[in-house]
Amino acid sequence: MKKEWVSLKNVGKMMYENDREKWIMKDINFNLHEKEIIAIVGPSGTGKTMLLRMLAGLETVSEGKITFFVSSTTVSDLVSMVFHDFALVPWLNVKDNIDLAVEHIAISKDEKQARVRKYIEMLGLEGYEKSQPFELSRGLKQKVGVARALAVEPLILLMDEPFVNLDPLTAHAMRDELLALWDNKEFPTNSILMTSHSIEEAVYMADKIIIMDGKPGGIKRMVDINLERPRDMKSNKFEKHVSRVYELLVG
Amino acid sequence: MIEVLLLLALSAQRMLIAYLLCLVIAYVLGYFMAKEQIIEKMLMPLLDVLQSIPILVFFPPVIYIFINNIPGYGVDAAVIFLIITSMVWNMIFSVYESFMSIKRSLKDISLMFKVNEFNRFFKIYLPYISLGLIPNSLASWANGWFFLIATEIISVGHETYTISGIGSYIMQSAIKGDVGGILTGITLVSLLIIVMDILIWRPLMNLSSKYIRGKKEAMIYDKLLDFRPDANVNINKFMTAISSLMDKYIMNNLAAIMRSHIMKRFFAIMKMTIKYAIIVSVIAMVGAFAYVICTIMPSVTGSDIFRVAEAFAYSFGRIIIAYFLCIIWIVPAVYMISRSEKYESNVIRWMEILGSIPVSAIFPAAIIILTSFFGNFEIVAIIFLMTGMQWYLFFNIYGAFKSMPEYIHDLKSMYSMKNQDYIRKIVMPFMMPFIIIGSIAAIGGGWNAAIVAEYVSFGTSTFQVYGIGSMIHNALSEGDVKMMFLCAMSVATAIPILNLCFWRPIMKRASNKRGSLI
Repeated sequence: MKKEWVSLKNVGKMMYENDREKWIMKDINFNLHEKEIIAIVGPSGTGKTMLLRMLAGLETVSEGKITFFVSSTTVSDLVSMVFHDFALVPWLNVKDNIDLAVEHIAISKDEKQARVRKYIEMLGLEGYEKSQPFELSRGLKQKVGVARALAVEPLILLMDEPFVNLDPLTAHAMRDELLALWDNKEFPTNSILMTSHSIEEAVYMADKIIIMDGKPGGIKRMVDINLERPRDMKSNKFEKHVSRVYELLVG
Repeated sequence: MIEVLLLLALSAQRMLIAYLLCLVIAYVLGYFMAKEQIIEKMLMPLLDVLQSIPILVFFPPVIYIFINNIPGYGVDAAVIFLIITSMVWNMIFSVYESFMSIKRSLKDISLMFKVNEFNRFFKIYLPYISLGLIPNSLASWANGWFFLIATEIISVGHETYTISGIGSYIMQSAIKGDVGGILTGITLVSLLIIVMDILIWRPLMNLSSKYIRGKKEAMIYDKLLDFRPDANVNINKFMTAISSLMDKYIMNNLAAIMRSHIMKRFFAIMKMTIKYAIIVSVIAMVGAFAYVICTIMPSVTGSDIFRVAEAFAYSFGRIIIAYFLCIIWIVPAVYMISRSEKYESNVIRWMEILGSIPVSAIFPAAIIILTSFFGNFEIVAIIFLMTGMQWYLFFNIYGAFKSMPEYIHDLKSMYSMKNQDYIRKIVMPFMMPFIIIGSIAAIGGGWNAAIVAEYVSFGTSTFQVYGIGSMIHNALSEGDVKMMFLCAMSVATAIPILNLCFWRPIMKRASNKRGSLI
């Protein structure tokens, strides 16, 4: 049995809209295991992003419970997030943006610098250290966002529609790069939870796909994807999975 | 010439002092408004009223108070105080709103990556707020020039408080009939404003829009002067250099100091002190104001109120006439300008330069020319009012017209709409909110202009038309505190009431209608 990192029990989120209670999602139950990639798909407004934000600690949980089975003393940061709008500080250059994220970690200054350098190199951002975000293409901006999220060396990486703002070619390359990194033993991140608008992307990357639907959002189905990596988007098996998820999503 | 340059420097120095004070006030008040609920609740309504009041009506009472209380520097203090009141409100609101509405992504970063308080303030909040303050500073700065020169002009001819500066120089040249002097004065002021605009404000604006919206601002002077300032790049380099130096020598040490226990206590105490200082001074100000009302009110007779109301009606009538005259030239002008693709950008560039020259600088010269031409000061006064009002309307209406998406223009030809239907059903609803914003600003500007336009004294001869502006001047020269106060108050209460009962409802309707259009 695989080890569990996080478990969500009956999680719900309520917000006030014009002074009226509005439930964004209800009764969310699932676990994230070790060395696992989960992709959440579903229509807009079902609370996919909100779910990630709650796991990241950016939003409170209104109902139910999110439990982490690792104490935060053993790893410096449990979770880190890649935002779909990149969320770079516009007036800080690439290196300063990443610096900002590792500032709080209790390691020496030199170790921090070494770590920032490591992830700049890992994402192929050498030469862009002094660039301002507005000088970068979307793909590069996203790489900075990923480098920053990884530099805190989180156990779990949350990615909110990470490739939605990229053109299809760049997105494809980024997916492969990320999967290659994830396979690397030196890669600190063990499990990934991501949201996506693209079923192909979800099937391509994930071990498990969570299909959300409804208002308030809930989990409609969970589908395991037992395909060998690297996956071939043109293979029959792959297409079968895609059409199955697609049917579940609309049906 | 040297003498004129010195006078210009003297005026510019007043502007600079006022602006720097505004920055301090804006940062401190904006911060405390955003952080402390009591202060927010106290200041919000106060600032809302204060920013909608035409400040110039308070110049005579203010100068009267300052001269009697601050011997020696009273006049300068009064001028700087007035410039501050013309600059500061939108700057405070800008800081406050930036604090309140800081982008979610920036907040997320601070939370997600546990950014410490020091970095959060200096690397995220402060730059964000400062970048938002740049466009507001630009507007305030332009506004400040108008008031600076207006106050200098108003002061001329009063023995007790003549203010030397470029504005009074222009006015004195006008009195002497020295055309060369007038032109030198106006040219120098305009040059200073344009040069500062090119070298300081435009690059800063560019920086601001680049960082905040991620796009480049059009550089209006680029083509005109065939001068493409790479000041932009230089400023970038300069800022990076400065910030790395700051990081190296100041920030790191400062961070360590700030984290120390004693400093934390010190900051906590300072915060408390400032907080209560703000609360006490607001109460004191409101109290002082109430005291003035209480002392003055008993001596106010019915006929006083009637006189003020009558003068108010005259001024207001003049402003309305000027307003419609502005509309009459602006609407067709905007239409024609945007129709001719060939000349549009050039004309707008010139308009922007023309609009950035403080109209108050042109008043003295215009008086001589126009009064001899029309032989009637009433017409001249209305023309002056127009000069103080038209740019607000022009740029808002032009901006609205330009911001209409292409498809709106296409609708007309696609459905072969009649011209009048097209204007009534599509163009007007779209433009209305902007026209209203422009109108509110224009009427406010009109009241300010009225103070200068209704009463001009040339040494021995005085031109005046009956209205609040002239009444307030006469009250000042007679030292009649009661009338000065009543006049100022009539405008100060009427404008917020007008905003609340007239502009706000129609604005709401207009934006609802426009909302449904898009």
